Amino acid sequence: MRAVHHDRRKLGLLLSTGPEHANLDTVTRLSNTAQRQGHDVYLYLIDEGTRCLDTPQISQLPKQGAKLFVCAFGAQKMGVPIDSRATFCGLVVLSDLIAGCDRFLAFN
Amino acid sequence: MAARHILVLVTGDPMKSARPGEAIRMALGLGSGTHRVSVVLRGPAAALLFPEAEESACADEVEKYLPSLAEALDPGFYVERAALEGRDLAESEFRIVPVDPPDIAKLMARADRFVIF
Repeated sequence: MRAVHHDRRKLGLLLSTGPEHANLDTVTRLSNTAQRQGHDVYLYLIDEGTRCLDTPQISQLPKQGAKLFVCAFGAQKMGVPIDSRATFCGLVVLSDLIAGCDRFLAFN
Repeated sequence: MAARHILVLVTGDPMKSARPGEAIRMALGLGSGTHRVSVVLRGPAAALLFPEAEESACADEVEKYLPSLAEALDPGFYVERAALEGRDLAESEFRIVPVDPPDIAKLMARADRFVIF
């Protein structure tokens, strides 16, 4: 069961490194922990980070409630198929996340 | 939504990687709305502002996005002073503001958000 807290906050995460980088593990753990504590998590994959979409760590995040966004331009460049696994979008969405989240952390 | 001051710190080597070009594209995208964007170039990333960038791994991004980003930046690109040693600023067509590491720390502290590429 998901904990509900009165001080629920929005955590924005940006990941721009590929699956081979330790950032993937850090982002996954951070996301899981934040969600367990009742916070909302918004993850944006950009550049090489779009390749992480295929990893089990990232693909399980939406099932746990995280909102997953992927840079469509980056995905196209990296040969990542655009499908229903995530919301493929442009930098306007990243701009909105930066504006709207209480905390925003970039892993590059 | 609240407008933020976003600092994009670019450290990668454009002669070896396309990532600095992606940082430039991202900075332009983030700055095209309500946010104010500042860009700091450290180390080899300074090459983005000089003619050699035409031969870099992100030459396309430099050509497409850098001029528009430059117009949006006030007062210009912040560039680590040490990265400018041996360079002639007149060879760059962009406004360059040399900064030292303490200045970069202040810029980061003043920004609402920062992204390191």
